[in-house]
Amino acid sequence: MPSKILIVDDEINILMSLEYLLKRKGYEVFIARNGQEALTLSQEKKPHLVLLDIMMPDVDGYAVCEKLKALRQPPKVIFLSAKSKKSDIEKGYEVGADQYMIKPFSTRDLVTEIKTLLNPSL
Amino acid sequence: MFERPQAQKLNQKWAPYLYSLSLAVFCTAWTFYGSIGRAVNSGLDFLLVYLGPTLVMLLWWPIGRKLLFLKQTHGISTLADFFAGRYGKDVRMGRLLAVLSLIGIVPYISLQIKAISESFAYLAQLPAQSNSYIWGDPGLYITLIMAIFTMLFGTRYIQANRPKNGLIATIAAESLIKLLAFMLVGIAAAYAIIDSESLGEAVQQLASAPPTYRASEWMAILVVSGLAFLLLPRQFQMGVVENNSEANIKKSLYLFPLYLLLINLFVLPFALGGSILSAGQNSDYFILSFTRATSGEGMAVLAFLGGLSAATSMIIVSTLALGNMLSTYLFIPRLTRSKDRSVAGSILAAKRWAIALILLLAYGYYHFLNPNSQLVSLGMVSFVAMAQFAPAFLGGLYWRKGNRRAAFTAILTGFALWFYFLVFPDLVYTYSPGLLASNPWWSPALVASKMNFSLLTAAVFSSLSTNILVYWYLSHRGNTKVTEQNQAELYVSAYKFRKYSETPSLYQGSAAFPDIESLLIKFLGQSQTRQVLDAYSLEQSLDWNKEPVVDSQMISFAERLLSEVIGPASAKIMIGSVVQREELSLGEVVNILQESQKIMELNKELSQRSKQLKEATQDLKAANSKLVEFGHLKDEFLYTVTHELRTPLAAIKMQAEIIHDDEEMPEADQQQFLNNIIKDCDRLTRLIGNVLDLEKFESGSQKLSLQRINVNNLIAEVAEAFKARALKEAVDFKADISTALPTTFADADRIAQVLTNLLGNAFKHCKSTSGKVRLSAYVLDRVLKINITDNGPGIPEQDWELVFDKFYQVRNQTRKKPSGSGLGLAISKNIVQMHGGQIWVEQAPKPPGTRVCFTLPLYSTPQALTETKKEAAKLKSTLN
Repeated sequence: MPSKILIVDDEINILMSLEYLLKRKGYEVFIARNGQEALTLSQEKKPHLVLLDIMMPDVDGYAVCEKLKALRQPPKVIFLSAKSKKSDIEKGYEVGADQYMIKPFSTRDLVTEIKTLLNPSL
Repeated sequence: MFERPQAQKLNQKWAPYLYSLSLAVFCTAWTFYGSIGRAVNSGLDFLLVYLGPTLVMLLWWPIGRKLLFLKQTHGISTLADFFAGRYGKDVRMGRLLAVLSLIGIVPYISLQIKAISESFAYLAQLPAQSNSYIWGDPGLYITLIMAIFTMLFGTRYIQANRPKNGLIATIAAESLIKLLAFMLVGIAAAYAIIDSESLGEAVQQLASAPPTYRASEWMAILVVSGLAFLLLPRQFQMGVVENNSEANIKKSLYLFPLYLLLINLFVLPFALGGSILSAGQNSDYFILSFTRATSGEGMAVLAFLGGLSAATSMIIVSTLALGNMLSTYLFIPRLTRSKDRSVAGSILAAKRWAIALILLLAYGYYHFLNPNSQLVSLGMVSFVAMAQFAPAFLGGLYWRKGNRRAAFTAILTGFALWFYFLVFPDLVYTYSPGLLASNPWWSPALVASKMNFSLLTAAVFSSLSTNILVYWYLSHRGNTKVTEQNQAELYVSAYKFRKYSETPSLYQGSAAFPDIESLLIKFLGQSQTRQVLDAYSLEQSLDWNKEPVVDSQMISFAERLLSEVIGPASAKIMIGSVVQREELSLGEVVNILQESQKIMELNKELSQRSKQLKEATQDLKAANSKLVEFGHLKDEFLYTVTHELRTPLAAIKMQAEIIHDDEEMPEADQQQFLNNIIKDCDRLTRLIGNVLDLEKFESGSQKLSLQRINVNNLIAEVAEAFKARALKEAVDFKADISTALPTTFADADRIAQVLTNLLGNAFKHCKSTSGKVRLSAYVLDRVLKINITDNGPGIPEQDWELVFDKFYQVRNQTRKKPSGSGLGLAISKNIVQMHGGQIWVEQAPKPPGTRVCFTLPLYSTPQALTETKKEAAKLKSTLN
């Protein structure tokens, strides 16, 4: 059973690239274009990990993260954001993120992070 | 210009009221005694005499304003000056007006004297005055007092067209007195007749009284009283000559009709009272007898005072106006030939003598000829006489073709008919009663009855229609002299060029300064001339000691000054005697006028620029304080920029890595990713370009490359690019500018950038199916306005200003993610502002939807724009 990953971003290029990358790595991938969609999909598909953008229309990434972490089986959350200020990053961890990566990031680092978070024993 | 300090002292707030009251000089003893007499005799048709002026007041705004302007620019002091000036600065024209006015008005003045004298006699219960004992006649003393008053107050200034506050105040006060007196006496009369038992009967009788006149006669009275209101010398004096402000005219438009309404309202009780008591006495003084009988002696005295005010104000103003005409056209032309160094004193003396002469004539007429007619009928005769000036007057104001010969002949013809119908029968009756006894075919009464008209109606219609026909016919025939054509153009199009304080100079030529100076001294006197010339040299920064030559503008100025003193015709002759000059052709005059209009436009542009400058200063001040207050704004901008750069960069890096790391990636996927990378690179480039653009604008280093652009073409070019897109996205797009817009100086590429940006936004945000985008453009008040409208969801009103902020959409994440840089509107705003224009969002005509508008002031030279910017930059540097 492959791990389920939800990607949330309103930038279509990033969304598609990540989807392509992670599918090739063998994950089961869902995508959402905004915060509301992300929350609905999370309840339905129960992903193990969520890649989350912060600046989005409607609900922003911080709020989405808080709600995800309040679920009965909270997924792991990695923020992927262009927001690079120290205060932004701190806020990301405050709302319960497991990792915060600043755009542009290395896909190799991202894949490593995902693996680490999904298999803590490794 | 060169206003007397007294003129300014007149309380601005009260001036319009004084003016409206002074117009009521129209209501003479005729109103006071005559209307009542008429009402008692023949019902309500006396009202027509006041309905005429009320109707004319509807047109007083355009006519009065134009006359005021002509008075100020051409130095007009009387109706005769108007005619002389309009019809080729011709002395004969002025002389005709002066003489005919004299003939028409003197009997009317004498009737006022009679009214005073008789009402006084009636009140004091003196025996009817006898011709043999002139010294016992109160009328004589009143005439003398009024002569002195008119000489003192009316000829204060040598320039007859200066408002004389003492005179205005007096006439206004008299108008107020006659109104109040009439109202009080009228109320008392109303009380008296309410108690009367036969009131109901009287009302019925008044209402059912068969109209004494036929419709044709009503029409005649209406027309003639309206025209007389325009043309009576006393009305021209108070309505035009003694006025200096348009504000006065505006208020009078309703105040004066109100006055007429009030004063006529209180005629009614007397009309009713008349039919109740059927007083058989001379109904001219019915108001006195009735008031004395019903309300006592005190009220009767009050009524007398009202009548006295009415009569004296008419006498004073009429005499003054006639005196000015007479002196200007009969006496002063002789003075101009005098070799004296200064004749200013003689001119004032001439004016005073003229006043004395007129009053003497009027008194003589009253005392020795003892006119027997009722006030109202003689007043009507005067009215018809004055109405003869109307065709040439109105034609002179509004019809270029009207010429001197036509005006002259038409007026004379009209007067001849007037004389035949209205004066001749009376003369015959008095001096040779037998002449008309056999009722020969040429008897006026017979002619009138053949026309099925009364004498008055026949006089009005035959004289006015012949007058108009002659004026029209002769104006179409015969050629006019150059001066006449020029004057016609100046008078008729005065209104069009009314923004000038001065008449543009219509002569080419120059004169020696000492000549002009001595000419002015001759007619204005030493001290006045000094004062006027000092002010002029200061204003125009001239020094005649260095350069004793005056240009054509100064010559025109001197001519206007002289016109105020000696009338336009004599002024022209006098100026002509010292100036070598050429008359300009009509074409040249029109050119000069057009040039003047250009100057006017330039002035407008200038004031617009200074307004923009003020705005720019304010913007800068605000910007400066903002900078001080929000020092972190720039950091925030940088942060937002880096954020915006990171996003496409992240996509590029990610996609490159995927291609790089995934060796088994299918060819097609690789192609897809590479394509995306290229697109993201483009987006990055655009963003960087925009950031740099904006930075350049905001630091002020961005320069516009100005060229003359054709706005229609520019819009068409940009729109063409969007037409393809409209087809592809099925957007209903129209950018048809049907009217030809003027050219202006602007940076074509930058304006195209703004248009592209705004249209791009509109396409992006319009409805996804059946989207609509409209571009419209038009010029209003020398400003080009362009609107771009879409039928999308619209922008919430609180954000209308914010959308022009950098990265508005980024910071307002509730909106669709931008596919642009987020800087487009900010850059557009900068471009528009650099052109001196404005950009804003407004309500779309059919909500929902967005309309973005921007304006570009039209610049006729590139300097006009750069100057504005330079000034703004200078201000900015001083602020920093």
